[in-house]
Parts: sequence; structure tokens; C-alpha cells
Amino acid sequence: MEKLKYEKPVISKITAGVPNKFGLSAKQKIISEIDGIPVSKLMDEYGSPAFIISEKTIRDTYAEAKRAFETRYPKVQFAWSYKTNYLDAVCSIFHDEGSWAEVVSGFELEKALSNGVNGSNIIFNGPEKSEEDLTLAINHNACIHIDHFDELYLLIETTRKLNKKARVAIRVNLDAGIYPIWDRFGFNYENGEAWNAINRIMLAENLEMIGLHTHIGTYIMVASAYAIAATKLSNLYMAIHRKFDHWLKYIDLGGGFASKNTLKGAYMPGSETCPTFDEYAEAISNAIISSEIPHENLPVLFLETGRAMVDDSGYLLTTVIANKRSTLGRRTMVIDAGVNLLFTSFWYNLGVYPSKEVSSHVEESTIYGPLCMNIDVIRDAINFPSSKVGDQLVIERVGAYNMTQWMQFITFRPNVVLIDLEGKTHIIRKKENLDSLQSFEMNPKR
Amino acid sequence: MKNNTLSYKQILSSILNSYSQVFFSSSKLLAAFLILISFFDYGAGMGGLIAVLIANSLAWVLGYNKYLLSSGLYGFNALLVGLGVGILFEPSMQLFLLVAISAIICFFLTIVFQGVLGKYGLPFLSVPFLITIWIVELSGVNLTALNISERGIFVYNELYALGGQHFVDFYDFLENNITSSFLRIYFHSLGAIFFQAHLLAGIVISLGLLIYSRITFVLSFLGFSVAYLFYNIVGIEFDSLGYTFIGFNYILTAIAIGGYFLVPGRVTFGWVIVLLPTVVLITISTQQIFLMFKLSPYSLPFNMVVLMFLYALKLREQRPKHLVETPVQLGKPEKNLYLHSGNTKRFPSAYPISASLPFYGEWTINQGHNGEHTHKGAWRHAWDFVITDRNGKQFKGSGDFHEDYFCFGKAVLASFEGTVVEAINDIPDNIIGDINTKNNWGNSVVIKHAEYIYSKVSHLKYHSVEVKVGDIIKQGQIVGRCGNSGRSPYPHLHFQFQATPYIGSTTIDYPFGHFLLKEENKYSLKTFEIPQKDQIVANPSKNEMLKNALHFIPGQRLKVTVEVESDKDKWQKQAGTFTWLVETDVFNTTYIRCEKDGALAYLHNNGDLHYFTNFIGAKNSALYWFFITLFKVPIGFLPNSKISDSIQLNMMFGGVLKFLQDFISPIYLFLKVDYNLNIKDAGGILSSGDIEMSALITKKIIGRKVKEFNCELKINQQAEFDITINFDQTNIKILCQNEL
Ligand SMILES: Cc1ncc(COP(=O)(O)O)c(C=O)c1O
Repeated sequence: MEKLKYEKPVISKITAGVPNKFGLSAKQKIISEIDGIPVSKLMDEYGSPAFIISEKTIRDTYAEAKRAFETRYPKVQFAWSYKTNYLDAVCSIFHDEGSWAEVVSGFELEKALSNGVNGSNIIFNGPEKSEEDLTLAINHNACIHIDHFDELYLLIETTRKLNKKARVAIRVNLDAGIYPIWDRFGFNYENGEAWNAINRIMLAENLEMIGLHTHIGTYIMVASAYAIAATKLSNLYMAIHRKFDHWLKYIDLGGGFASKNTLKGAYMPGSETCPTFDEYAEAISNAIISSEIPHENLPVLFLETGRAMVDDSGYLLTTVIANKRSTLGRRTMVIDAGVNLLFTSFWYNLGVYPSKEVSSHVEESTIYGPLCMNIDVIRDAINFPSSKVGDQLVIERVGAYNMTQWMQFITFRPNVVLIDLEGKTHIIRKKENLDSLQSFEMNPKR
Repeated sequence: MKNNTLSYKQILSSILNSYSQVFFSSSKLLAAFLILISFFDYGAGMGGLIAVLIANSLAWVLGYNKYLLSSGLYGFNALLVGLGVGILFEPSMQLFLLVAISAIICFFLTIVFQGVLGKYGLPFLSVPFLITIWIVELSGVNLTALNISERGIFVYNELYALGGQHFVDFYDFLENNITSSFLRIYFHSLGAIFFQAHLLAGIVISLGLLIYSRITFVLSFLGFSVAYLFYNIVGIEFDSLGYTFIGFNYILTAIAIGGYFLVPGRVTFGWVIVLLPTVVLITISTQQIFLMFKLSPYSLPFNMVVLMFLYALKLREQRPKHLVETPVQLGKPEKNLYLHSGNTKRFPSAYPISASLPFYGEWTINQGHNGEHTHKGAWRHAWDFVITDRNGKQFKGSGDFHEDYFCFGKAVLASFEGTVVEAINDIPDNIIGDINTKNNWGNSVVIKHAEYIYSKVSHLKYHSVEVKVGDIIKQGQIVGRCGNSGRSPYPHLHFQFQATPYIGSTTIDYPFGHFLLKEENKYSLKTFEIPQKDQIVANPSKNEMLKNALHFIPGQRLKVTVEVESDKDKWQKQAGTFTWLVETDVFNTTYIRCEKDGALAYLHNNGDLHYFTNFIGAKNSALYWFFITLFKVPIGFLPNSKISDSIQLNMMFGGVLKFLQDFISPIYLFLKVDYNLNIKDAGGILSSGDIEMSALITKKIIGRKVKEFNCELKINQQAEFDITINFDQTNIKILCQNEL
């Protein structure tokens, strides 16, 4: 029999019996396995920390999103937003499900092409596109979403040099009732800048205008904002038809659906408050269908959903390194995964859970990462049961942005492991080592 | 140039076809046989020819439809009259005058009956002839300047006059050697159609029939045998048929019903057997009546029974599976059968509307036709649709609330264009588990799409119906939202086709025009099929590029360049650069005509599918290869999908094999041509980039593959077709572009 866990005695204010708004605090949630594989086994095999990605969750989430839209709108196409998670294995799952690629740089464009995505199934967004990038995009017949006039001029110039046609759309920024308005990207709708750009493009010889794009922001918590955006793009779509007798092929509403993570400062958990795919889909589909567009000319609806599509599938396994008490008497805990791996910890109150049965007593604690930097705080304040050094913890909903925005800082970046549909595990990105990092370095001989 | 000119070819075919049309045929060879035997009797032959010329000239001068004219439809009744009158009297100027007058009467009767019966979609058969010949016969005794013919009594004299001693000997030989009274009367009856009273005429006609169509030949025997049997069973003296012009009624009825107006098959053959005794009875009884006027009923029994039967069939309410009227009359039972055997669903007339599924996205059929819950009896041809997740569940959470159900509130669409004839909107949704048996159907919309084709969607969400009675709506337009009203314990969409406009109407067995069937993450396109329980189905979306390329518009000109690599001269002949024209015929059917070799390829495009229906011309025409490669092409966007069909076997088989096949074709087809189209690249959801497909055409004998044709097809943004066909050591390349 294992020795009973020793719990250090502490004195704390009694809160039991005084229910807060949501009643008594629920039983401590435990994540002991992922897709049927025990957390301890995963850590034995792949070390700590380690990112784990569930293929099943990705596919289920994709199917749910797809069903939500396709049962409401006749022509829907998702484009996987590379920046959210561009590990090849992850992208491949999305492409296998039928997703196009949405990229925002030459690098991402090359990555999508190397993943075998047909160039004409790539949407090229972003404010920074060099002549080189544009050339690559044109040669692969990608859909280029123009961000500003200078890009438009460069693109016209490039098509002329190549003597080739480019398929283009413009990114539109608009007031969808969301604050702040992301007006730094694309052409503004309300002041007529977008209409201006459209007129120039329609007259440009080598540009084939095929769509309209907007991305109103990220983690948008009101579905109705999309209805406003969709209506405005539908208006432009009809205006183009009226003036140029030209039907565009698609309307792209970008990404931005909230994932189930809880924003810092939110009163209620995100899983309760964020709209579901169904709610976003209902708002968008109704707006386009009830616009002036005749139903036989409805455009294809593109979505570049990122975080809502992949957040749930990612877990970070980590180990308790130390338990401390702060000078104010607050319980603190150091774990072996820091903010360098968890970029989203700056926005979210990430869910951190034990992997084994623990005592029912929880105490408000702070969880620090292993970095020797003051900012390395994973959770400021979390009710957490006591745990001892070596305890294995699971941080959930970390599939989006972390594996792209992470930093190699002080430590190596860990293994990323995929659990496939059969429950087999695969390393999809190896833990870094000294060699791999030094391989880019050059030390001038002195 | 005057618009009303006739080419020499049209004149000739209008004459020849007036002869072969008597057997519902347009075979020139058969016509030659028939003209020959008509002149076995000079008076009849001349009378017939004069009558044909007069009727056809009238049709031409008065400006009737030239297509029908050259098909012989205006001439064949007059021909019969001419023959009949010509044989009644001795040849003389007066006789030919009488023939001319009768032909004029007959022509106008033809026009009248064409109009009257045509309204009911019925043929006029030989009704005009009947009336005319009776008119002439009844006045006959008073026409004293005309001598009643005594021919037929001195057969040998006449034969001698025709062909000398050898001919007489030959005839003698036949007379002495054909002793079976069955055969003799059969030949006599056949000859009697042309008012010829001797064996030889019947023999020549039956030979002509055999060469023209095996099915017709078999039917002529079948009809006659059944009559013969019936005569024997009920004890009517059969030999009497030998000297009355009556027996052909059995033959013609059998041909008309067994093979011509209906697509031949076991069932039509069965009905020939059932109906013939009726024809016998009508024949016997009308003979009694007509005897009082010293008249013969001639083909009256045939006309009565065929018209009655065809009319009765037209009034069927359920879409027929058997006894299908020939959708496109190709003028030959075999051709009609082969065209029909491939895929009956191709015919626009078989399915006047091509309905799509009434929703967006993938739905699951929860209850299909003849379902175990409510789709029973008169309401058995209906579907219940729901949405399920990957695990087959219809709801999330506990399923206690409407909103838990994936289908609840989803748009419900018009499956085809039409007019709203019923719209109910104010029945509340049941709470989950309850049903409303007072308003069984709940909120519903009934749309009229065509005569006798309505669709109904039911159990819609309370106050979600967006259309009202009288609204004219388009296919795919939203009519309401899926709900839980009426006899519906949980949200689902009920859909049915019906023949009448009421909420409670019973269902008809009618298919969806096109849908995708999900099979393990792959899709196959189904056309005019009934989706089954538990299947997951969705609407295909159209490929704009393909839609444009396959939209052949009358007046369009296509420039065709053909290159051939082959050691056979036959194939090399089609090489070159020439033009194809898109045109329409009198029936408004679109076809492509090759300017070089005159080949025709008939096509149809129902908006979802392009298909070729028929090809007329030689196999070494590039158009033939275009026809088989693009035999059936869906316009829906579907990479990695397949569509299958079979090409009518007479397009690819010939010679002895086909001759043998013809005989047993209504019973069993041992020859088959499979068509499999594989869509490799369909340009994506934006319809951009080239479309690539390959068609594999396989000739089979009793299921065994004997030859394969590989056709690669590329269509680009400019709607250019690039086709490569490979078989044996031959390679044919066809490039087809719009001529500007
Ligand atoms: C243009 C564009 N599309 C899509 C996305 C993905 O957004 P999200 O992860 O919020 O769905 C982003 C993210 O910033 C973006 O900039």
C-alpha cells in the first residue's frame, strides 16, 4: 500500500457552507487519461513537460463545426489557419478532413505547399507579402487577399512581370459592433475605401476578383457581430454584381470564434458563455441567406476558424517541481512548464488539473513556471488541492497558438505527441536538444 | 428560296415511309418490299401510290409539319385507302379518280384525328382509313361506271401476267408445300394488310418484317398464335380467316402493344396474350354488325383495343414500372428497348421534374419508404430526415429540448420550383416525446411542381413557414424550418411526393433527381433514385465551369480537330478539322450534328446532369466517340466520385450477335455495354482549374468482358473538350472548341 500523502497543516479562512453564486464548489476535476491513455504512461514515455494532441478531438470538433455550417448554408469551405497550429501532423488532419490552408506569410505558404495542399486551395492573408511571396502565390494560383493599396500596386506590378493572372480578394475591415475594431488590416467598409479598392481591382487587367474577406477579431463572444459582418460583405457582393455584372465566388468571414477557454477577468467559465458553432453558424447563414443575394448566386462561405477548432485537442503535461509559501502566506507551486510554452496563459485562466485522486481540500494558489523571470506565471489564483513534488498535472485546451507562438527560452521545447484514432501515440515534434539549436548558429573564428 | 421547299430526299422518304408506317416502321427496305407486293395487283398498287402522292402533296402544299410528312404519317392511311379502293374495282380512269377523292377525304380525316386523339396523347392509327373505306364501300353499288373487280378469282392468270411461267411455278411450289393451315392463314392475313389475297404477298411481308425488326416479327407470330389458340378453344372456325381481310388485326395489335407504343418486355408480351382474345371477340361481334351493311370491319378491332388500352394506361396515377410508354419513339422496337434498358431514369419524359433534397448539408434517413413506424399503406412512399453526428446521435445533451436536436430550426427548402398550394404555419411544436394526433401533419407546405406531381414537407417549426399559398418559388428556396409539430415525437423533417394538392394526400413513388450518397467518407452520385433508411445524403453543388461547358445551345458551332493513330483505314477516315452544330428538332430535342458526316447525337441536360440519349450515324464519326465519352456527366461538383450507366447495346454491337439478341431481347439481354465515369479533378468548390474525367466503356457478353474503350476527358475554363480514346491499337484525339 502506498504511503498516505502528507499534507502540511495550514490555517485558512473557512469558505465551506457559504455558497458563492454558483453554489458549492464542485468536486475537483481530475484528468487521469487522454483518449484512454493514462497520463503517467504518456509522461513515462515522452517526458515532462510534453504536449499531447488528440486526433479524435480534432476530427470531432471539425465535424461539429462543419455540420453546424453545412446544414445551414449550401456551400461552406473551411481553411485551416496555419498560425494557430502549423505542425505538419496537425495540418494534415485538417487537410484530410477537407480543409483548405489559410496562410499569412511566405513561410506558411511554403509550409502549406509542402504539406501537399493544392496551390489553388490556399488563401494567402496578411499585411506582409513580399514580391517573392506574391510570385510564389501567383505561380501556385493561390487566392491572394490584398491587405492595403501598396500591396495592390506591388501585386499588379508582379503579375505584369510574370505575365500571369492572379486570383484575388480584399480584406475588409468593418464595424461589427466589436471593440476594438481591427481597422489596421484591410480596407475600410464604412468610409468607402473597400469599394475604392474593388473598383481598382475590377479594372486591373491581370487580377481576377473572386472574393471578399474580413476577420473581425479573435475570441469574439457575440455571434451577432458576425451577422453584421456578413451583411456588410453581402452588400459589397451585390454592389459588385450590380456595377460590374460579376458574381464573386466567395465570402470569407475569417476566424475568431471563441474557444471554451476562459478569458482572464471573465466572471463565468468560457465553456458556459461562449457561443457554440451552431450559434455562429445560425447568425452567419441567416445574414447571407436573407441578404439581397438571390439564392442561386449565393457565394461559397469560407471560414478560417483557428482557436475554436483546435484548442480543445491540446494538453500540456507537466510536473510539480516545488511547493512554496509566499511571504504573504499564499500557497505557490512551481511546475516545469512556463509561459515560454504557454503563450495563451497571458489571455486565459488555463485549466490546470491533477492527474490522480487528491484530497478534497483546495486552497487558492499561484502556479509559477520554471523560468527565472517574474512574468512566468501560469495561474495567478487557482483553487488547487495540495500536491507534492513530482505530481503530474495536466493543462487543458492548449491546442491553439501555443505550439506556434512558443519561445525557445532558457529550456528546450518539449516533445509534441499525437494520439491517433487507434489510440497509438506518435511524436510529431521532437524535443529540442543542444545540437538542434546550435545547428543554426555560426561562431566566427577569432 | 422559299421556305416550304422539300428536298428530293424528303419527298422520297415521305413516299417510302408511308408504306413502312403501316407496320409502324420507317425502314426503307421494308418499304421496298411493301411497294413490290402492292403491285402484285396493278390496280391496288397504282391506287395506293396515287393516294400516297395526293395525301403527301396536300400535306406539303397546305403546310403541315414536314417532319411528320417525311415520316409517312400523313400518307399511310391514304395508302391503305388507295389499296383498298384500287382492289375493289377494275382499273380505269374513273377508279383512279375515285382513289384521288378518297385520298383527299382520308387526308382530312387524318388531320382531324391527329388533332383530336393527339390531345389525349394517342396515335390516330388507321381510324381515318376505316372511315374512308366504309364511305367508299357503302357508295360502291351506286357507282355504276366502275366495275367491281373480279381479280383474286383467277390468281394464276394474274401471276402469269406478272412474272411468266417461272413465277407461276414458284407460286405453285409454295401453294403445294405450305400446307399448315396456321401458316397459310398467317401469311394470308399479313398479305391482307395490303389487300393481297395470296400467300406470296404474306411471305414477302413477313420476310420484310424479319429484316426490319426481329421483335416485330416475333410479335406478329405471337399475336396470331394466341388468336389461333383462342379460336380453337372456344370453337370458332379458323379457316374463315383465310378469305376475310380480318386476321391482321391480331398481328397489328400484337405489334402495337407488344413492341411499338410500349417499351417491349416480358410484361408487354404478357399483355398481348391477355388482350388478344378480346380482339378476337370484338372482331367476331363487329363482323356480325357490319355484315348487315355488307361491310368488313377491317382494322376496327385493332384500333379499338389499342386506343382503349393506351388511353387506360395513360390514366394510371402511380408512376409505372411496367408498360412504360415509349419515351422517345425511335421507330423500331429493338432500339426503343435498348435505349430504355440502359437507364430508364435518363428520360425526361419518365421523370418530368428533377427534385433535389429539401435541406442543406448531410441528413440521415430515419424512416424510408415502407417504413416501420408511419410510412405505411397509402403513405408508404415518404421519407423522414434527421441530422446525426458522427456517432449517429440526433441530439446533444439530454435530448429533452428541441434545441438539443441537430435538425431543429434548420432551413427546409423547396425540392423543385413550383407554386405553393398549401401552407400551414400555426401548429405549436410538441414537447419532446409528445405527439399531436389532431393535426397529424403539423405545419406543412405543399408545392405543385407539375401536373400530378406535388411535394410536401411536414412537422415544420411553429411560425417558421416563409411562403404563402400562391407564391411561385424556385428550387432551393427556403420554405420553413424543421420543427416538431403534428404527429412528431421528436424533431424531424417529413418529405413526400404526392399526386394531389392536399395536406392529407397519399404518396406517390417518385424519386429524387440527384443526390450524393455518403459511403464511408466517399460519395457517389445517384440519379432518380429512392434513398433508403439509414443512408446519409446531401445535395451536390454545381460546378459552374462544367455547367457552362455542357450547356449546348442551339446555334452554337463547335470547331473539332481530330487526330487518329491507327493501322485501320476505317478509323483514320474521321481525322481532320470540321464543324459540329447544335440544333433542335421538331420535338424540341437538342442534338449535335456533324457537318462533315451528318451524324447526330441527341442530348438532354436537366440542369443537374448532361446525358446523350441517342446517336445516329457511323461509328467512325468523331461525334460517335464524343457521344460515348460524354454519355452521362453530372454537373455537381464531386472530386473522386463515380457515376455508372449502360450504353444502349445497339450502339456497340452489331452483326449476328445483335440479330440473335434482338429475338430474345424482351426476355433477356445477354449483350451489355457498361459506362463508368470517374471524375478525377472537378476544379474544387470554386469551380476553378481544369476538370479531368475518365470514362471506361466495357462491352460484355453474358457478363464477360470482351472489349474496353478508355476515354480520357479534360475540360478547361474556355469550355474546350480535350478527349483521348484508346482501344486496340487505335488512339483517337478529339479537340472540340467553341467556334467564334
Ligand atoms: C486573417 C485571419 N484568419 C483567421 C485567423 C484565426 O482566428 P481564430 O484563431 O481566432 O479563429 C486569424 C487570427 O488572427 C487571422 O488573422
